[in-house]
Amino acid sequence: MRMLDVGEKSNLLIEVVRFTRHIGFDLVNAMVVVDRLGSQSLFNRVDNIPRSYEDWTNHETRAGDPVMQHCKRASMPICWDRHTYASAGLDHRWEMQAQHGLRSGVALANHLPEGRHFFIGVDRDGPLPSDQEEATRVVAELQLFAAVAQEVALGLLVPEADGAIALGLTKRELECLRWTMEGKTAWEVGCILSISEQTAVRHLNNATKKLDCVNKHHAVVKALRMGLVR
Amino acid sequence: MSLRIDDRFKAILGATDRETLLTEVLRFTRHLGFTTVNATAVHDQPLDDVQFAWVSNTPSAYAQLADDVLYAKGDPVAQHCRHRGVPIVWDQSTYATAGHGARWEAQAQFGYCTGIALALHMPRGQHFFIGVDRDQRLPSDGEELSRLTADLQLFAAHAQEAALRILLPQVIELACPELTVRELECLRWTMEGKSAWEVGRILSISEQTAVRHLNNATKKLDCVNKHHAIVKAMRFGLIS
Repeated sequence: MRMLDVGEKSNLLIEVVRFTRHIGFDLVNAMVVVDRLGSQSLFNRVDNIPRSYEDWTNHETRAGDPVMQHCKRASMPICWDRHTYASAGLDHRWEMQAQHGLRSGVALANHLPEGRHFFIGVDRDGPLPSDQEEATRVVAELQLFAAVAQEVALGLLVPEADGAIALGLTKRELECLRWTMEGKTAWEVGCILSISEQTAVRHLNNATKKLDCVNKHHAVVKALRMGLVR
Repeated sequence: MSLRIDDRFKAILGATDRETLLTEVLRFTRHLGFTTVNATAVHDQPLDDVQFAWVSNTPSAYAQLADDVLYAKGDPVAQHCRHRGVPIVWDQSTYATAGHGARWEAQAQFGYCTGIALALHMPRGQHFFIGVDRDQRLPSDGEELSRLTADLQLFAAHAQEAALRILLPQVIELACPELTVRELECLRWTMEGKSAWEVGRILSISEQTAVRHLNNATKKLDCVNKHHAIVKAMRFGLIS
């Protein structure tokens, strides 16, 4: 098993494409998704999908996509081809994407803690391997690669609490918000964090001001929506 | 179609009880060329005790030792799996490097000489761990070892669903309660920072009625107060 040693996004793309070719596919889309409660999820990806196929980035058309639908719910890989789209009544979609080299593929999503998801899909211009053993090899290798790649991708593609830094929220303030989110009173938060109730209240008041909210509960909701706490 | 994948990965999807789960896990393990296996479902939520449930063919003589060792702090394989999402391929050197050579000696007597282990960390505090072990060396051929690891990773993706469903049914059944339209409205306005009195004014109901709706929602969601209820309702996707 080859560990990925990449320091930046462009190197991640190089490694992802290298792996994709190694298992006999051409195109790849590797994507990190971060849920934000009460607002739109964050997407960040590396891919080598041809720009001519611009439609694929359109979330609305993707919404009905049977492969995406599968990956949204399931944690198991899906091998897809024309038949997958045809049986979903979307043969025309398949015909459109086939023009851009997406005739068949393998895709999977890993659903992770804290509202994070890692998706990877490889595609090619030909049919899937007809030999079951060969197909299994491809899928197993993709599954293993995903486990390795997601650690790297999560580090590179998720802007870790950038919003918190921008607003000047301290680690302590975020901790107080997190426990308040679990239904704890300021006194309880103080006990949990080994600080006085007054200090907990001060942290929460500061967080509330920085988030431009009317009270701590309002601040929790806003922090959730911004993805600062999960 | 997923039909293309070898049946030995998918058979476990049909498991409905502990026995068939263990049978399928064992069948896969042996096919992979290993002797013993442990497949564990874990649930950990903040403020709750961690729940473990597993199927395994751990020899009873080793079970005593494993009870101390498997989840004990020092075990380098357990440590790795607790924190990482990538598999670990281990042998004597893994334990020796971590300063646990003696532990390896002890477990090696029971056939735990080498192995592959991995954990899947999933939403809502759910985790799945699987480790296969044997008394022989691991293949020296990197490609062969990589194939074994990939197979285990693919099997885990299929097995976790069945394992959590069968081993920790109470976790999966945490059903989303049904809230009335009024209760949801009250939660939504409270979420915007409104007091119960303000919510009452907005919805043209008395403050008392607003409080009652919020209390009912809080109870249904098994929460300690209305603010806690809002967070939980957001997690269930009831409000946004």
